[in-house]
Amino acid sequence: MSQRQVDAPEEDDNLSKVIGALWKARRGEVLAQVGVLESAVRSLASGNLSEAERRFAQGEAHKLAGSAGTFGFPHGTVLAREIEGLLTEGCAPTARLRALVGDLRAELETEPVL
Amino acid sequence: MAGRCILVIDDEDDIREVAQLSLEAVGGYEVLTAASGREGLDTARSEQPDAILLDWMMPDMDGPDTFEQLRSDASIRDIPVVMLTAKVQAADRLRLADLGVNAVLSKPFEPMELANQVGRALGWVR
Repeated sequence: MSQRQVDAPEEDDNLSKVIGALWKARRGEVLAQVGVLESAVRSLASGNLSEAERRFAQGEAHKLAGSAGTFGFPHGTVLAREIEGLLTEGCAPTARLRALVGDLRAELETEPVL
Repeated sequence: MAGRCILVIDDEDDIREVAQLSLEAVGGYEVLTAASGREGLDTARSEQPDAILLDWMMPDMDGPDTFEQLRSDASIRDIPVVMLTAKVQAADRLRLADLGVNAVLSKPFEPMELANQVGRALGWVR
C-alpha cells in the first residue's frame, strides 16, 4: 500500500482555502464558545459561578485551545490555554480572566492566518 | 492500489472535518469518521481501519476509556492508535504513556502537517 504525499504550493493553497471556508461556516459556533467564557466571567464577578458552569466553561476553553491554532489563530490557542488553566484552578482572578476572554474574542474576530 | 484507511474519532465537528480533509488531500488516505468513542468502536469493528486517530477529551466515553475498550476487544486490539490531545500537563502525558498508545500528537495541529505526522508516527512514511 502507498500514500500520496503532496506538498505542492497549489495543494497548500487549495487546502487553506477549504479550511478558510470551513472557518467561515463554523465561526458563529466558535464565537458562541467564547460567549460561554464571557458568561462564566460575569458569573465569577458576581460570585455566582457554579461548579457546573466552571467545568463547562473550562471544557469550552480546552476545545478552543485545541482548535484555534488549526484554523489560523495560534495566539488564540495561547489565550484559550491560559483561560483553561485559570478555570481549572477554581479561584481564577476575575480581572485577568476577563482580559483574556476579551483578547480571545478580539483575536477570533480577525481574519485567520492560513 | 488501495491506500490505508484511518478512522478519526473526535466529538468536535470542525476538527473532524479538518482532519479528514488533511488526511485525504495531503496524505491520500481513506478516512472514516466517528463523533464519539462508542460510535468509533462500532466503526472500528465493522470497518477494520489501518489506524485510529483518537481525541482524548470527549463526553461520555473519553479517549483513554475508548482506547481501553479497543484493547480489550480481540477483533480490534491490534489496530494502531494515535492519540490527539490539547492536554499539555506532564501528568496527562504520563498517563498516556502508561496506557500504551502508539503515538501522541498535539492539538492544535497544522492541517498541512497532520497527514505526515500521522504517517511518521506509525512508521508508514519517513
